[in-house]
Amino acid sequence: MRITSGMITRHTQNYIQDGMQRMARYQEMISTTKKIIRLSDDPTATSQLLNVRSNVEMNKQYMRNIQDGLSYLYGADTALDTAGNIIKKAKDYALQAANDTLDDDDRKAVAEQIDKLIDEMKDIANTVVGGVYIFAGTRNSDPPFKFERNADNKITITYHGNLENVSREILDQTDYPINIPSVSVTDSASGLFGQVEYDDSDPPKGTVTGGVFKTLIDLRDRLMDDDEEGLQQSIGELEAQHDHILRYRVQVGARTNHFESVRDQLQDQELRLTQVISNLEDADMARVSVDLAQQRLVYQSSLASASQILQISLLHFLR
Amino acid sequence: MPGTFSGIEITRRALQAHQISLETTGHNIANANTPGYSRQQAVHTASDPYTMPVPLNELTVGQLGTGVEISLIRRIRNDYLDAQVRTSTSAHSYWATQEQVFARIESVFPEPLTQGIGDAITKFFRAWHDLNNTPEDPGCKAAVAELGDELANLMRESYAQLENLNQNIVRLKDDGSGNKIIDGGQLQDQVDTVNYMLKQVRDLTEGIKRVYAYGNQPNDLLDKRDLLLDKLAEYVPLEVINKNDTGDIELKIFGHEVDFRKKDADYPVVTLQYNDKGDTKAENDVIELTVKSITGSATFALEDYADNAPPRSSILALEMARGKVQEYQENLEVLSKALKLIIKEQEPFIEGSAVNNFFAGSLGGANEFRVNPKIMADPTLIDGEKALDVARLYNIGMDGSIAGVDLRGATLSEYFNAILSDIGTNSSTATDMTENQYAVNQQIQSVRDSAQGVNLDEELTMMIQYQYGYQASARVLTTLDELLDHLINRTA
Repeated sequence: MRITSGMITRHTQNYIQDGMQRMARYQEMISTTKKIIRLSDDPTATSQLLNVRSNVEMNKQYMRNIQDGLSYLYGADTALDTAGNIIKKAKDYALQAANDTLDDDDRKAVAEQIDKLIDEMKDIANTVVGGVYIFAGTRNSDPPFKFERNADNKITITYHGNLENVSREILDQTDYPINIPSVSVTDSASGLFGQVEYDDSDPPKGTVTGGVFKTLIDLRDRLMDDDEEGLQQSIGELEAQHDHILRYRVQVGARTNHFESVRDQLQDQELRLTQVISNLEDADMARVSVDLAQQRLVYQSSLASASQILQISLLHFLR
Repeated sequence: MPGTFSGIEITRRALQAHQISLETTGHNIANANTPGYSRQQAVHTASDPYTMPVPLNELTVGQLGTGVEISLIRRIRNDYLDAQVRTSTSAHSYWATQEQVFARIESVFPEPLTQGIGDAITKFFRAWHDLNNTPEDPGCKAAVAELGDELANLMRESYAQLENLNQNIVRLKDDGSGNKIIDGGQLQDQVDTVNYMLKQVRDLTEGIKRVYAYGNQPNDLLDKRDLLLDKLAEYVPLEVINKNDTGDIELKIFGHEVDFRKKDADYPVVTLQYNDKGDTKAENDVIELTVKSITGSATFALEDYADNAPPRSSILALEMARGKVQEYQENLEVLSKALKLIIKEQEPFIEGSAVNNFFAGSLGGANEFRVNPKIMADPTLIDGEKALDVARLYNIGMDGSIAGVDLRGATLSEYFNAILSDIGTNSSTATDMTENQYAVNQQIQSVRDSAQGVNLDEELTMMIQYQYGYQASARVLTTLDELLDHLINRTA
């Protein structure tokens, strides 16, 4: 093929342009450490990358939900532990008071102790974890249990939370309740602290009957009344309450285990997905550096050869 | 028997021929870097010989040479290569224009390097999850409103930038009586350029025809016209038929033989119109092109022509890209409507608050797309009890079962990522094709250059050759001069 001066010039320009473009691309990769910078750099990888990224983000949210649920569960576990201890203590007192050697005054003194335990139990029922009352259903920004003592030391307890379950979404479309039903409606015995005649008023309100409070209050009143027979009954009731609380504690433990294992699984998944993201978008720095060095050599050579070729002409040899 | 001075006449012709050749070489060297220039060659031919009137003369041969003459200054050019170059120029220009527009579309979206709408969608739904964890927390409610606002802002901004791009390609305005007309933009600019170039082609052709009429060949004017036609091929698919006897050409644009020989008053011969087809839907509108042809005038929708087989040119690329920009705008609009409807369906509003929509307005509509101002003013109107219902929407493929929103089974994120993916694919195709077509174009140009281009070394060699030719002829003249000197001055 016949070569003309214009062709050499144009080819030289093209080679220089190509070389520069390639070097600019490598430089871009090195300074961003990414191989996908624009959408067009690798469309298939980009769409995968974006989808995996939103996956990871959502996983983070599920992990946060689980972590949040766990602190709730840990709080509940501690509360139940304390509640169990209170019942145990009350039972000890009751056994002690059931002894024939105690007289009327002694039993009144024990009743005082039980009264303190009732207050303690009230505090448990109003446990706060992270700013929310964990035994209040979803209406949990105010203390759910309110006590009123009237003149003759009668205690009326009202419940101000609601009966909704608190649950956490730990995986897509999968939520689990993390609360313990603190009260239940009258005909069921599943409430932790008793039953409530619930009215639909706003704010909701209901008088708490039965349950652990009634057991403690009954015990106190029987001690006050020096009712030995009643004391025996109370001991039985306390045992039943202890079992009742334990049952919930087992439930909380099982839920905690469940949450922890899902969290571990998600953490594992996050690690792997992060790896996928890195594979998709991160530049292999060693390789890019070598590529750049090579390209620089090519570029320099093409410049050198261009400068030599463009200088030669018959003109230099004509006198 | 030739005359006494015929030798001098031969050397005179030789000197003249070599001088013209040297001048042609000089012209070639001078134009070595002129775009579109094709090298010229002074064709040397032996002039008609002197034939002896007496055939049977034994002393002399039958015919006597009379020297050299320049029969023609030849322009080295190949029409077929020109046609190939133009086809490939059109194709390259088609892809290069798309590459440019897509690079701008890409720059509207900051992904994948930084965070954009996709991440905003995820963050927004994460906020709903947080709200579900603490349904009464006013801070979480405010976060939901703020992140919703951020999402709406990002979407609005991207939409506006796409609209801006759209307007850059075709700017429309109201003509005063409610009809939209084209009021500038890149497409109109290119059509104006085409008309301007056609006028230049017309003027050059007039000149060329006049020179042809006198039996000469206007090499440099032909070069200029060919260069102009090369440029024209960037804008429109072109077909040129040369009429080598008159210097005239037939010109087909978009397959229609354009009547470019018209007077100024009859221009423009290529025009753009906006046809809104009588309804209000923007996507049904078309941009039409009219070519005033020899047989009448032909009008066709550009987008229909763009589906045709190649060659395609930059005007078609602009129309294609404009269609794509509009498509992406529609996609964003669909996304905004989906967000609005599916959240509304979950009714996450405090009862009796008289708020029934989380998002208000719409992209491209009269009211801008944003979070309901009532919610922005008081985020506690959001009902935390319903937060999980909203949060879960993030992972649900929309197939029409929720509020009738159909994203062909994709989740909101997937739908948006698919838009980005489409932009990326189109952009990368345009980049690759531009590169390919550039290579092809350069290849054909090289082939053409190989024939018509100036090689300086070659010209310098020719220069030496002609120089010696000139010197030798001068030498012959000196010798003849000496002979005649003897004959005239020394024979007494």
